[in-house]
Amino acid sequence: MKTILVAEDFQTSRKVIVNALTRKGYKIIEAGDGAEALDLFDGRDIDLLVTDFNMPHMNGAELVDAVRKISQYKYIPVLVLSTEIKQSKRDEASAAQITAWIPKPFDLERFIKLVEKSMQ
Amino acid sequence: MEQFIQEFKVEASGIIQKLQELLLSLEQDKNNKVLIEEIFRGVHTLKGSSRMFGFEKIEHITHHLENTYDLIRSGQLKTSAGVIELSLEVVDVCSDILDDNIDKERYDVLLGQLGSEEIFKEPVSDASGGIFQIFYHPSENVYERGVNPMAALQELEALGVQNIFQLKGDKSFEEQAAEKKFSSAFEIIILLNGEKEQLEDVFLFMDQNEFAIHKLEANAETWDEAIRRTQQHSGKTLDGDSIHQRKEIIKGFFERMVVTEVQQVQKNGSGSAEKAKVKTGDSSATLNFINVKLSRLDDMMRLVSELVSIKAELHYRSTVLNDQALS
Repeated sequence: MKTILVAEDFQTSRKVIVNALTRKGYKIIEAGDGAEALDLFDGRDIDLLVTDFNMPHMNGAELVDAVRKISQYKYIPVLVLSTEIKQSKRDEASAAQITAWIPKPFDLERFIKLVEKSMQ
Repeated sequence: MEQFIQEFKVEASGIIQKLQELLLSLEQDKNNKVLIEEIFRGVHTLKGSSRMFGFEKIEHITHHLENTYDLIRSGQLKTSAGVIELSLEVVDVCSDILDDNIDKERYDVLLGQLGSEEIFKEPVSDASGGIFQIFYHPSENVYERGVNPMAALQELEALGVQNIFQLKGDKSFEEQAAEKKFSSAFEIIILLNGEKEQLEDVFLFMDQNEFAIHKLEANAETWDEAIRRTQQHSGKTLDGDSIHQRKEIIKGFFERMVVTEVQQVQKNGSGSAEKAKVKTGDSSATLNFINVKLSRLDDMMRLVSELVSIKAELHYRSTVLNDQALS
């Protein structure tokens, strides 16, 4: 069973994402902000990181940057969710080597497709 | 102050009317630099004066529109039908705000669209089927983005009959995956059995400069252009045999497509002219479809997903409320 770490500070959004992914049979680890997510990486087998961009303590780009520095997770696929439309913010995330940027609000079916695709 | 605001409204309405005229002219002459410059200036003035008189919503949305035209006038982006349509809507919304008649939802949707690259894409005229030449050359550090570059090729397999040529790279794929450095480049000629969007979806995790999709025409004279592209991407001149081989493949695909079309027309019979021809591959299904502008479909998807989020939030809140009532 594939494991996905979902980092999102807005509880409702996180619930929607977690419910959808759980129904698809994925094992989910939840984090309420970037720093908590980074702590949860702690050697666990994680196949995908789904993270919000704007979060307290550590934003999505900083989180990805930190995760990629851990050799075990250097090549992990990362999907970044955001309502942010500024190109400069997207560039910040791209510089941290992300797999895809998903603008919010998003279509759940499409999101699931991206999740599946990212772990191929 | 009230008097000044009235004066501002009159002035702003004048600018809005002028912008509408300019945008309609731009629609007919998309690369007219004078028009683009005038639109930019008009939007800039509207932004400045609305800020002065406290019309923040107009200031905010025109700020984004101004940025868009700044990119166009500096040649970084091209005017598209989508941009003009969106601009007209923005101007319309500004006019509504002046009349104290703002549609918040429409305003937010427009604001979202102003930041999206989608508006610069030209609508695809023939979205279904066809023969395509694809170049696929992931960057060396593709693995560092968490992307498996070979997955795209596997996905392509499901989309139709194809021939894959390796243009660059002599290391095995296993070796490249182990070293986490990708060096191969491919050319794929495919008889697409589906929508062009499916083809684009294959490369969702790829940057624009890592792939190129070209639709091929049935006219054999245009195939030299395809050969030229291959030479450009592979960085070497193709020998006669390789050129011949490619042209034969393309020709074979076009013949196959025509055969499928004829069979399909016969199958449909003369009485079912309404039914669409299946143009590609081996599919024997009869398609019924309607044409909807991609941008409209995008709008709808956005609205639907917004509704889904709101519904989930309401559900969540009601659960919380119930819990509280019980405790």
